[in-house]
Amino acid sequence: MRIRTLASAVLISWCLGASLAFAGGPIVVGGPAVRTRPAFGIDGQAFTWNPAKMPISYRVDPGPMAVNPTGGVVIDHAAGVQRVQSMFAVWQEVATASLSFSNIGNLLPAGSYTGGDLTTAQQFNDVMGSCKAGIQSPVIFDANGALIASLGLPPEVIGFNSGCALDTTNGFLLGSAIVLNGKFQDGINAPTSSPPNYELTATEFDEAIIHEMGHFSGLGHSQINLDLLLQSALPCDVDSLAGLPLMFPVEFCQARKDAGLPVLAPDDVSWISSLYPSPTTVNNYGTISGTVYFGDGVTPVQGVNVIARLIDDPSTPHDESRRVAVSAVSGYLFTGNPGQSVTANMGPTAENNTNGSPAGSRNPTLMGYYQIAVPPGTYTVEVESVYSQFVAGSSVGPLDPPIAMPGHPEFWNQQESAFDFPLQRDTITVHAGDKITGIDIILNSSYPRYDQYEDEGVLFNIPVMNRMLLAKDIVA
Amino acid sequence: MLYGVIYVLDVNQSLRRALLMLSVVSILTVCLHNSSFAQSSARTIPRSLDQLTAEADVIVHGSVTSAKLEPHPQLRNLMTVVVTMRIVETYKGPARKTITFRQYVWSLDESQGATEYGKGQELLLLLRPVSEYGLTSPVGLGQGRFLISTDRKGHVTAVNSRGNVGLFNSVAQRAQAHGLQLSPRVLTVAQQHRGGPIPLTDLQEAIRTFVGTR
Repeated sequence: MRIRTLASAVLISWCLGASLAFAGGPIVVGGPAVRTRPAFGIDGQAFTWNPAKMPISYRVDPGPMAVNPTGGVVIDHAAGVQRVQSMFAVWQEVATASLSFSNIGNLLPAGSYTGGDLTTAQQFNDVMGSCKAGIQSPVIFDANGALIASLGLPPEVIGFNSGCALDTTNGFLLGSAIVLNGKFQDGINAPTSSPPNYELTATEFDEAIIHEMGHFSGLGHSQINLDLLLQSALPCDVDSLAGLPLMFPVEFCQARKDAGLPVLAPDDVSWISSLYPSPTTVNNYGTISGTVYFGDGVTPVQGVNVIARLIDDPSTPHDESRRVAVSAVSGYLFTGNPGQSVTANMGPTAENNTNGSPAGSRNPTLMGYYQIAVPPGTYTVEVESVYSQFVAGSSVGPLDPPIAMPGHPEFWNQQESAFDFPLQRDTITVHAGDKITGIDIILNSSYPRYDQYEDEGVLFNIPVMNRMLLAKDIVA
Repeated sequence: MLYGVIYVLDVNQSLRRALLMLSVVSILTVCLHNSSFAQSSARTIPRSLDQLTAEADVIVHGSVTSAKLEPHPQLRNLMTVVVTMRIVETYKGPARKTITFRQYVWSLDESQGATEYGKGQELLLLLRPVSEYGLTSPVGLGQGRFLISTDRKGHVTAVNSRGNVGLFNSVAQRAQAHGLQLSPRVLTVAQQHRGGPIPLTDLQEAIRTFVGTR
């Protein structure tokens, strides 16, 4: 079984033919067997580390965490290990989640890497090979940024996570790597030098790496309080920063801790608890779920960001609607790429997309479906587009690039239709353990769906207003 | 074709609807999916345009003609994307008609599904010096990669992975400190822009100014 698992991991590391689902929530979701391709994990379930094999083991580069340009050690190995442990502890200490991490020692030798400080790209390559084989999950100290530079990456990179291996039989994460750029902690701030030498406070640096540890744990990106990014009013408003997920795709505000906030936002805590539920999770969360539909009210829409916001409590000085919010992307459990065979024989091999992505379910009931776990309280639910520039490594949800949501952002209300007022909203009161279903949202759009000329008979059932809008389009 | 198949099937309404839904997604995917390659998550600090320009070794505007995923020739455990672009204009570095570069891809998803270098994409790229392993990447990662597009009104705009947020932070002050004369247009953009796509012509003019070729 072990050999089979490792073989699967190696196979999937090297031979993935299509995209994995990067969701607001889980970073990878299992999919079914398709034709001759075997199942990819568990259909419609997030890949996680095996909860029966906690703690999650990682190994640390034996070198120092940060050195200055003359080679002087700024943060030694022992202090670096302590920092890493405290960063992992941020996720581990979520009371409603059941995951833990353990440093099981120095990096294992692999190829040209025979031990000691990992400094070269060749050593990194060899250690990554062992990570891809599921042998070890390395945490690498690039003490002076030289490794990152030799990989052709810019000095602005604080750190990165590289998922290495998956157990595609059982749906578990098997290996993952994190690289920390110690140059940001070398005590020298010379942004105009060539190459630049940037500096971050320990808090800023750690929050960047804790974000990467979120990916290491199986979390994707989340989008909440996007207006903070778009308005670019720095420092960020604290209420909005409180609700801004640490797993937001880009870093641009002041450190959360420096603003007096916990490192993890409610969205981060909710999702890590959903991926690794503990016995207390059900006592602290209820769920809101539903499906997002096109204007026809029957065709589900993939890739729409859905946010549940706690309603503001006017008796407090804070704006709870900005502070307490949890999101999911519609269709986050469904595949972002079901495949097509039309171009399979027309272009390079890379364009053969016959079976689509192995990741994500093909169960039609999961198309456009979302589920959000929220702490008890009264919430509104709203929809918006995933920001168009959140692509590739910054992607949110199953579609990359994201689609522009048909229609304008709107709230859920009890009389959902394709022609309701966007600000018309109803509230949903959630108690611990509640499973509130059917919070379906019909987007306001003159297009019933993208293929507007394929009506499936629904054209004859839609509301008069929508039919009039259609007529306008046909005339135009 | 898919719909034709659905309509001749003698199945009940719910199954037909389910099949239709699946086919809609399939069709959407045909439209959305392209041969592009994933870059993976990395935390970066924000840089302004003058800083990005100074750090870049090569700055070009062009369109992607190919993007091929392959292991690094020496570092076989590291996946890379080899991108070739047809160049319209070079702002920094030797003038050229095409450019080919290799970038490290460290995502769990090493192959498709993202859009950084989709075939046919028009980009303005600020690339770092090539490393000893023949690898490079945009300055500030997505910050130095501007996607060029034309809106419904025919305006040609450019936007990077941060939505251009912070792109002109303190640019005017630094220019003044360095005795750099910004044109009235660039100065206005630098003082007023907070985020979002900017006209390509403004970006080009600003870059030419910072490079010193205006």
